[in-house]
Amino acid sequence: MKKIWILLALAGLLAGHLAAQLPSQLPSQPGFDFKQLDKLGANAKDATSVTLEGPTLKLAASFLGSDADDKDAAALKSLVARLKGIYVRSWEFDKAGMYNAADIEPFRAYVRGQQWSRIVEVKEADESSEVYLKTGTADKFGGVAIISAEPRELTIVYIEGTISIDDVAKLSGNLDIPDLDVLKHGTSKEGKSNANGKKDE
Amino acid sequence: MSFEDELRGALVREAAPADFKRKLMARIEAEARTAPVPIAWWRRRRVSLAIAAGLVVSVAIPGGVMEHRRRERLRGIAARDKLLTALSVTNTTLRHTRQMIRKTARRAG
Repeated sequence: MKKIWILLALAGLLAGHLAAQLPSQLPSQPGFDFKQLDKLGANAKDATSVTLEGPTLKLAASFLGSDADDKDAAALKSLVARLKGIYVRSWEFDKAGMYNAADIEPFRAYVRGQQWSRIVEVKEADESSEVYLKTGTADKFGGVAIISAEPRELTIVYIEGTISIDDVAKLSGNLDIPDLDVLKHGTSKEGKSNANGKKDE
Repeated sequence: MSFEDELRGALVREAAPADFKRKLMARIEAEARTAPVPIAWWRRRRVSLAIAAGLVVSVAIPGGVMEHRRRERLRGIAARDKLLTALSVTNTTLRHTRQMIRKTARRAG
């Protein structure tokens, strides 16, 4: 009888331990449901969809490279370590007018909410680009959202987590992030180059 | 002597020898002492079983650990590729935005 009580107590302790770990392992949900954007890509010839959050994001960051001398990898790791989630939706279309711009509105309405402020809005004849920052603490922000709409290309990026203006600057070109063509096909369209436009050795 | 008398003579009750019970009990006890006690097969092959179990454990546990690590590594590489894709798209989009800002500023200036 004593053994049964000991076993029950151990089982209780184990269950408590697992329950305590569970919330930290569950990915944090973004405030926006990205399924609402699915219809934007209905006629796309090429689509890129990335959703990385919680433990998967941490796992990805741990595989970014362990070379202590590689400052870019270290900077990327440090940046990603502070993030809660990365959501990217990008579509390429054969011709103009193959997506309904009104379908971007739910996301635009979300990033126009109280916690967000638009820091960039550029419009040209048939293309536009918007960058929003989420209110955070002190000089840090709680996230960044980008909407880039061209006639044949549409990209929506949502990054949630502690991020600074420096991080945004880093993300826009200071880091040695491989070009998407290199990632997808091993070579870029204009020879092998990284995202900074530098030719790879 | 008739058949019936012979039968009666054969079936007549005879008293057991005086030490019959003692001898019988002694024999039973002796047989019980010498008779082999049935042992379960797994107890008879304890050493072989222990070696086999040791081999299984020494192969299965490192094998399981290696397989787990291999899967974690593949999962990590796939997640890293997704992360790099996301960062690359972000990078390209922000660079494009920057170019648009420059172009607009140049036109305005």
